[in-house]
Amino acid sequence: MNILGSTLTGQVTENLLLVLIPLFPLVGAALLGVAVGIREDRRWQAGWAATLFAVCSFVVTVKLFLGIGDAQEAFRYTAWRWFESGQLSVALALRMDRLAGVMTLVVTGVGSLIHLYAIGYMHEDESRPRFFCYLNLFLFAMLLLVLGENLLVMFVGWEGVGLCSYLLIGFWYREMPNADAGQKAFVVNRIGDAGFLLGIFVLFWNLGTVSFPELQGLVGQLPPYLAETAALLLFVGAVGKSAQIPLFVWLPDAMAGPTPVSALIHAATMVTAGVYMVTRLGALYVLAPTALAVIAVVGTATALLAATIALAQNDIKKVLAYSTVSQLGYMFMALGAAAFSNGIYHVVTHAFFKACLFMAAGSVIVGCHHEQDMRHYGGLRKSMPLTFLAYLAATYAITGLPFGAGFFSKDAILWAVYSHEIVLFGTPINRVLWGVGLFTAFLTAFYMTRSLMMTFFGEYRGHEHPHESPWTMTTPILILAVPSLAFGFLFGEEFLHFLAAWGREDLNVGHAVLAENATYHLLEMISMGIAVAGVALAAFIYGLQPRLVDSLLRAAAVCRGVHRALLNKWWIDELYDALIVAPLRKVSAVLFSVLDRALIDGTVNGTALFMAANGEIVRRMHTGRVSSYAMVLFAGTIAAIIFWIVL
Amino acid sequence: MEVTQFYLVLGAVLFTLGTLGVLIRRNTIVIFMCIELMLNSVNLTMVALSRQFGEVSGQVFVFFVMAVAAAEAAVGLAIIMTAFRNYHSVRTTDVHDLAG
Repeated sequence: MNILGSTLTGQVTENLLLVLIPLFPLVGAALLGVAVGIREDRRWQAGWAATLFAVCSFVVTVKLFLGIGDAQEAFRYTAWRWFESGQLSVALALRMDRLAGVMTLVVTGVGSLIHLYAIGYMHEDESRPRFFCYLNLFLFAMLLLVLGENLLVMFVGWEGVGLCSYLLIGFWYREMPNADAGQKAFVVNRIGDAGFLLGIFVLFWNLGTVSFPELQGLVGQLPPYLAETAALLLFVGAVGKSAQIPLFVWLPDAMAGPTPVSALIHAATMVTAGVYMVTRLGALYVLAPTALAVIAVVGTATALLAATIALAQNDIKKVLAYSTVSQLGYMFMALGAAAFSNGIYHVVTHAFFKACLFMAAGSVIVGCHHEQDMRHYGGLRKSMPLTFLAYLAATYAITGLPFGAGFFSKDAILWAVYSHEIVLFGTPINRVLWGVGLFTAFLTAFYMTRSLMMTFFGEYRGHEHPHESPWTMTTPILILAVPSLAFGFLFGEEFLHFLAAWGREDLNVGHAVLAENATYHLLEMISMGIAVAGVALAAFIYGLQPRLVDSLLRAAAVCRGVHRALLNKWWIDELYDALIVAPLRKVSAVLFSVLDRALIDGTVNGTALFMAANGEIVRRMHTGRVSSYAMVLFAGTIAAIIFWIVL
Repeated sequence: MEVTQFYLVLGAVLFTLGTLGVLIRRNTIVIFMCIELMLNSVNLTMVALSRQFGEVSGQVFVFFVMAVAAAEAAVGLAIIMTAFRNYHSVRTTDVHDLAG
């Protein structure tokens, strides 16, 4: 494990360009924030301005990325010393090493494309300046998260992306479900954030620093139980942000936001923040095998659960949302096997194909006049050929068919899990996890092909006349379709090599060497077969035998039961409602009436009433008659004289 | 000796009359005159005592009091004029906007 190799002594290059990367979107957000009220006929400029800022940021990132050195080196920029308290000294500092560079490239690159796409998607919306302001603000927060030199700067970004996510989910806030979904996302994330903060406290309390390079050198001093505690607490934050069991419930609801938001925030970038954070603190996590095992189990369970739910959903965005949850589970599987670079590999490929899928879905939604139900699609490949091509390419990638991007990254994860001893409660569980992961791959292939078939093949079942989207929308999806297909094939090996410092050494031998390993070869064949089987089965059922599912549901009660369970998402939302939300509401109602109404309001209002009553008495002294004042004055003088004489 | 006592008694009587006038009367002009009465009763007392003890400072004080009283009369009468313009009355019972 040479993750520990990057030490304090690593060469650090000051670079002013670095600060420009987050600064561009920040300036954009500020300008657009000022311009929210511009005239109707000038609102189209908002989207282009926002896109320009995103692209500028991307260009700077590319410039810096090309100059990035070996794993120990990093570009660094310290804006100022943020605060100092006791031994804690926190700088507002940015740092871009290889890992952060890769993430920044994905965030700004995919982000720019999605900005461009959003111009087309939102072109009828009257509050575009507000939308693009939030979008740029999100980009800023995300870049702060990725480039933060210490945990606190990361935390600021972490909260910032949460805020933007909330604002954008509830962007169309006039409809209550959207506002509710935003609130749900915010509250659920808050639970995770509490864990994240506690994790930061544990690290700071015991090591006296929150800076990543310093932490990397110091975590070795932690006693094992503290390392496990910190790792698990930080993972709670990742669970919230990256939508893992049990906090994944907010992500499917987050699809209430505009589709570019779903693509950018709830598929490509923000939800991968948890994966990035765990990777960033990889040096800590390798010291906490139990925490890693927990991560692997949670990730695998999430991958499976979400994939099963995705099987039965009819809303195209819901399918993609559960697919995202499932793929995030995959990433955590990789992290659980200490193969952090493989997790990031899947983050990158997933960003390509999932952003592409979401944007293609958005294009379909616009083309079908805001219809999201796949049962009202069908045969769209004729009316929307470009969108179809992109969706096809991205589906090819995610299903794990040979030589698509998902094939390489998913295989890398499965191999990492298979070949690494993951022990929980004394039992090695890596084979089980691998099996579940493989089954999930089958499900993934199945439900993605199902959505492809239902949307683009067969006969059109809708009522409106579908049409292809404008070039601002089709260009980004077609651009993203290319790396979805070719990224793993062209750069996969270089990529893993590039991030070797964050990976396991035994995995870092290159695909060619691995392919000579008989077991690896076999596993690769198996997963390839599984993917093909999933695709073929779904294509058969939904392409050739469209009545099969219906007749199955009619024939067997078991099928109906399973279908209902899947359609209702295993009733997890209802379960949370009954177990957590409803009791909380009851307790709150009691607290409200007893504590708030009676005690606090009573005290406050009582004080006011007491004062008012006193005033009622005292105000009578103010007669407004000069003679009575004079009388008081006189009486006072007499009293003073008597007092003086007597004493 | 005896003569001074008369002056002092007269001063006390005048002061009491002035005080009672200020307290009892409602007409601001009368109140004003009563204040003058009080000031002058004090002046009388000071002059009498100054005479008895052969001390000049008492008389000097009286000049100051007269000067201040003159200024006060000017200001006070102006206030009464203004009040009359606004309330069409100089009675204290009619001017009570500050009543609580």
